[in-house]
Amino acid sequence: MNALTQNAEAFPGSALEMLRLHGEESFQSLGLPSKKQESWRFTPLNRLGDLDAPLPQTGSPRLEGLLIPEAHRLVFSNGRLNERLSNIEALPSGCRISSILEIAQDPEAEEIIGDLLPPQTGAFQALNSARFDHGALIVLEAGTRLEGPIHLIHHCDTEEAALYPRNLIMLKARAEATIIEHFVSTGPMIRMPLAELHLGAGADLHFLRLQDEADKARHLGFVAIALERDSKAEFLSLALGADLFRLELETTLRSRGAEASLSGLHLGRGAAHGEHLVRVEHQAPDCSSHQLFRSILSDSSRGVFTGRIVVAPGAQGTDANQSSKSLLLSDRAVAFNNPQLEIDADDVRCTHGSTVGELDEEALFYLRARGIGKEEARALLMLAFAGEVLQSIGVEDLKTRLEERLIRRFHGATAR
Amino acid sequence: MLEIRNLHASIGDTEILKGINLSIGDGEIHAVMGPNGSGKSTLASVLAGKEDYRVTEGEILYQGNNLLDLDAETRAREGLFLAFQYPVEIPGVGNSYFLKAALNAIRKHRGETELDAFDFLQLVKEKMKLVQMDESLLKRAVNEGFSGGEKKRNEIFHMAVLEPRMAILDETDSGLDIDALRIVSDGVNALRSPERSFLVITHYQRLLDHIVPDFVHVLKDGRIVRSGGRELALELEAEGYEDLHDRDGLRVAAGA
Repeated sequence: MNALTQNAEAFPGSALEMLRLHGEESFQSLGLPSKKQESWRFTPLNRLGDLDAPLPQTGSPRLEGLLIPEAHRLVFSNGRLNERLSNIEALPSGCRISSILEIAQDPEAEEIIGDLLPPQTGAFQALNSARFDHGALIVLEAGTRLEGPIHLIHHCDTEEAALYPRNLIMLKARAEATIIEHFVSTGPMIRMPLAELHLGAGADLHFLRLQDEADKARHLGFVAIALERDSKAEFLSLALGADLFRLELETTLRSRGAEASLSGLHLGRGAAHGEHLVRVEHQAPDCSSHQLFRSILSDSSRGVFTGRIVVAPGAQGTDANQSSKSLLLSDRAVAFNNPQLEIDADDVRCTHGSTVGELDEEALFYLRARGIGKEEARALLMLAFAGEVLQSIGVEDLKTRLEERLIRRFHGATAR
Repeated sequence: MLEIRNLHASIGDTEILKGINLSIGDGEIHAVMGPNGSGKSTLASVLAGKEDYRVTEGEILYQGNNLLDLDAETRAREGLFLAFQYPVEIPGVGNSYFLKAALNAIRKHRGETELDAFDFLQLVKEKMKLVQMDESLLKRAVNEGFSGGEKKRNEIFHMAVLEPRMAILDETDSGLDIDALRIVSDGVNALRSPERSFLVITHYQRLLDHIVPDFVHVLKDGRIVRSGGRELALELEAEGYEDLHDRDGLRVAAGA
């Protein structure tokens, strides 16, 4: 496991060091965001907590039920790579997986780190740039097709922690991979992960981001995807936990024929706040993008979806659609769905639809009148609502496990 | 099988059923006819356990027990079935998955073992033939994108699989062309048995040419105003509902 050797000290003057300095400067000058900023007006920033909590003790992660047998795996425990639990022995040539701290060994990756989400884009992007100390560097050379998914597990089992993981993922021309990134915690820590995903011409990436934090945890994530000609990205965000959750997803279709399918499912309970902020920018002609976001909100939880489609001048033949729906299970739950379109080309097909509703009482009665119990009928309707999003999970075993998990959770979420 | 005594039911402050009396014996087919707004569908909904309606007076005995004490799912598990006038579309829930869940809920209630996927498929294939239903409809979401005729056939198909003791058909004939009507009726007739009773609710006589009832009742303004044999249906067809007078329980001569 030589490639995994950690190197906590960045090389002076290296790209990493520059990024950190730049991050620190930007964070100092930007300061924390406030509710006065449009994109932060829904977010309860007062719940952020201590951003400076020190790196916690080494954890002893419990991974039962989380592992995918056929996966290439990196496990991060309390912000440190755990080599013993990781397994990247079976990687084919043309695919490299290492700690992000090893980036100096890959000049090409070093060259582009921070390009998609530079520190000046926002305070927390800056903070991550200044402080990240773990995460994955994944590079697939041209034409490499990876069998079996890559599974990144971020486990945290301490109460107080502020963790700043960072991934850089490069799929060169025609490379194909499935990546599952899994965040699990047991206490009220804060995690601020950032990931940059580069897709070369004709590359194909499936990315499942599974936020399964403790109910008291805080999770603010940033993901950027850049797509070159004829490449294809399928990105799915499942947000199951956290008291404060927010994911900013920035997708740029840079060259003709690229296609991005972005979907998300957020389950809110208690007084949790969850938010998907999506921005899709069509920079080139004949690209397509699809957004499918769902939230199911119980108790006094709150869900926000903001989806912006930007079509640049010259991006003719754009096909962009967006659908956001929220299901409210309680009178106290609130959903805000904000579709935003910014279109500067004329030959464009853009559609969007947004609904907020409750469980269909007619459907519920229909199910019950056939003998299905009330709780089960409600859970069935909730799973059906979530189903569209879950469909895109390609790893069957994981999909089944998630569905079973959701059904159990929905059974518990039926009380008003 | 089913005994309805002086049933009054309201939605909000509006009383819709105003004292229904109806007794259905084992193996009998009763038809309830009546004009729009007479309370036919309300009667079906109250029997099936829809909570929007409030029963203010009277009682319903089903197999000797108080039906109104049971929630909708328990009624279904006890063998009561409602074929909906407007079957509900449920995107995301597979027709086959739904039916299997329903059947197993009923079997469990009866103390029978649940059917596995294989046995279920065998049963379903056999029952689909009964209503000449295309197998592709099994794989689709419940009623989603089904034509009017397919929805009604799907209801009868569900009934065939669930094998109720007491089946209520709420305007199953509405929206069916003559061929579909025949298929649906043949399906119902195939399910007739000495242990199974039917309550067929319809606006039109034509369904009763295919599903021949033992008794016909006329519902008007929330009351049964006439009862008789199947010839009553023919009489109504000829003379319409307008001339019927509101006299609870009495046979009223219909005439100009």
